[in-house]
Amino acid sequence: MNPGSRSKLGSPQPNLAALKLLTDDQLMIQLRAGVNDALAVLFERYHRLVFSIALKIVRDRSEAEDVTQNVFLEIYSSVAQFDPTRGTLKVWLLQYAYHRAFNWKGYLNRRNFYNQEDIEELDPAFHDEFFTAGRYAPGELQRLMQQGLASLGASQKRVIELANYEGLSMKEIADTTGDSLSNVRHHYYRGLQKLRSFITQPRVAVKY
Amino acid sequence: MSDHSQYEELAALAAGGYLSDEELHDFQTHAASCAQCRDHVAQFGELVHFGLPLVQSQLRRRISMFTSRPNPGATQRFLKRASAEGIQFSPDVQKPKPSRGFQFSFAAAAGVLAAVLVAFLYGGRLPGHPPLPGDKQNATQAQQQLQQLTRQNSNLEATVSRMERALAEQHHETEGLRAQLATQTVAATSARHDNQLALSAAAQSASTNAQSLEQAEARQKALEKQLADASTELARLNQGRASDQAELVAQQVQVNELSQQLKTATANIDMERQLATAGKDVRDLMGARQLHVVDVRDTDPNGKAGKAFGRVFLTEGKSLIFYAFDLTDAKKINAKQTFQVWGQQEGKTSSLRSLGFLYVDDKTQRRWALKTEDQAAVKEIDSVFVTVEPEGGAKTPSSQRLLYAYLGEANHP
Repeated sequence: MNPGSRSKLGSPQPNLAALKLLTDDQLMIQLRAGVNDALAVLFERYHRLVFSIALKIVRDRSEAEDVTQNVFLEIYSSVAQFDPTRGTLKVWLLQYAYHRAFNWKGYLNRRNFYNQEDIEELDPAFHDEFFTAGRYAPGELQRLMQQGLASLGASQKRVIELANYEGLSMKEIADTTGDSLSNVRHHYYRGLQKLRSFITQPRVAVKY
Repeated sequence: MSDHSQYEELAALAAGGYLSDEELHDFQTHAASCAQCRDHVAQFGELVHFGLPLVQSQLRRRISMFTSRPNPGATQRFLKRASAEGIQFSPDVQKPKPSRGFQFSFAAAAGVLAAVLVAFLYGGRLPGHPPLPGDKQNATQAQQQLQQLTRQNSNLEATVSRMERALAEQHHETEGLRAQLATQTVAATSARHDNQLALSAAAQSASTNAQSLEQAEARQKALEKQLADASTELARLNQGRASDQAELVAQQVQVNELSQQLKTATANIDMERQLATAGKDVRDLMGARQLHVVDVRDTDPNGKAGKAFGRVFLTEGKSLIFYAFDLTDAKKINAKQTFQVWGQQEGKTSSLRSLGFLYVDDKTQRRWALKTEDQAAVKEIDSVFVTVEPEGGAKTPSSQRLLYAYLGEANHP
């Protein structure tokens, strides 16, 4: 949309100062309506968060900036799939950030472990296809993940946190914890296995 | 670990991108023909990429943001790339946002330029310096440039002001984060300190408990040893006691037997003595030359003689034996009374004398007896009778006569 024109909603396009006052959901609505300045506001609002996550994982500032830009460009291109009833934009961005950062890390994508179709199937924009999606109410998956993480043994939890939130390699975790590399790898595997079992085990539906 | 569980571990590591080239190749080869492992990778990948990001703590995220700031100009580079990919923004967005230092330097430069221009314009009117040809036109242009620069300066000042506000907001946010971090640090330090104290106290308590336990165990062992010793001693004593009891029983049996033998012997001796005595009495009686055998009869209140209740054997001048029967049944005396036997010459009260007391001679036959060999007494009396007297006897009869016998002439050869 050309600057100064009307949005798809038919209303005059708000200026930058007005956009800055909108909430995330409202900005997504504007973006969907063709107000591209909303993307700039969102970038200004969240690019530090996305960058910090990407930097943890890819370990390179320049590459982390590339990942950050990619995340926001994908947000722009898949804005139609955003559904505020399934979660907040911030969570969506976090998932994008992690996913793209891990993919950039390349062990799955660059080495052609998945073909392009597989990658698309893992895209958050298509999270209806996920084995965890659709089973839980909004926020319930987050609660289950918290409970699942809390149920892990101390070693398993520490390895997963250092790997996922600090971006450490298995070797670095072994050096940090003083444990053997094979033990660290096994803790990581057993932790994920427990989390998967915890998330997918049958439950009686409870409404909150 | 089985072969396939090894591949499941490789699937988890692959989801996080932690496989070496060789491992990845090996796993790819396996997964190409294993749908289960492909599912595992997909499921682990979802956890790593989309599940775990949901539960990263706010504090950790903020600290990460604080310590991992993007390079300056990140927004402009993004807008440039987005524009290159066909995303159009308004001029407000595309307007370059120079750094604060740049803004200040730019504003300063503009100010200096404006000052130079003002000096130039006013300088042209200084005394001693006549205006050059075309100065008026130049002055007008300069005036316009000055006005333009002034407007630009105003705009720049407004921009600086906005940036300063934005910076102040960021500073405020940073301060808030720092305060939050400080609070969390204080809380964490306090919690760590509390935990250390609790741990120390627990360790101390555990040590004390361990010592107490050791002491208690030592006491218990000592008591168990004492108990074992006492049990052994008790068993030994019980054994001795049983032996003593058996011996005691045997001795008791022996005593009983001896007592029985003694009793039997005593009875035999008594019997023999009685027999010997009785035999002597009988022999004496059988051998006596002047023997009186007199039946003794009770007398009623009228002095009439009743049925015979006894018999008297009198050997003149030698002895007298008085047998009485059924005295207690007839007279019912109590324990503090006694049967006293008296003798006298009939009609001569002064000859009255006590001959002694009846005693039980034979319980089975309820026979009482009195024997006297007081020859002087036996010579002087010719009749005997019995009265009930207090225990120890009386000097003269104090009650009614119970039995009476007149001895008279000898009636037995």
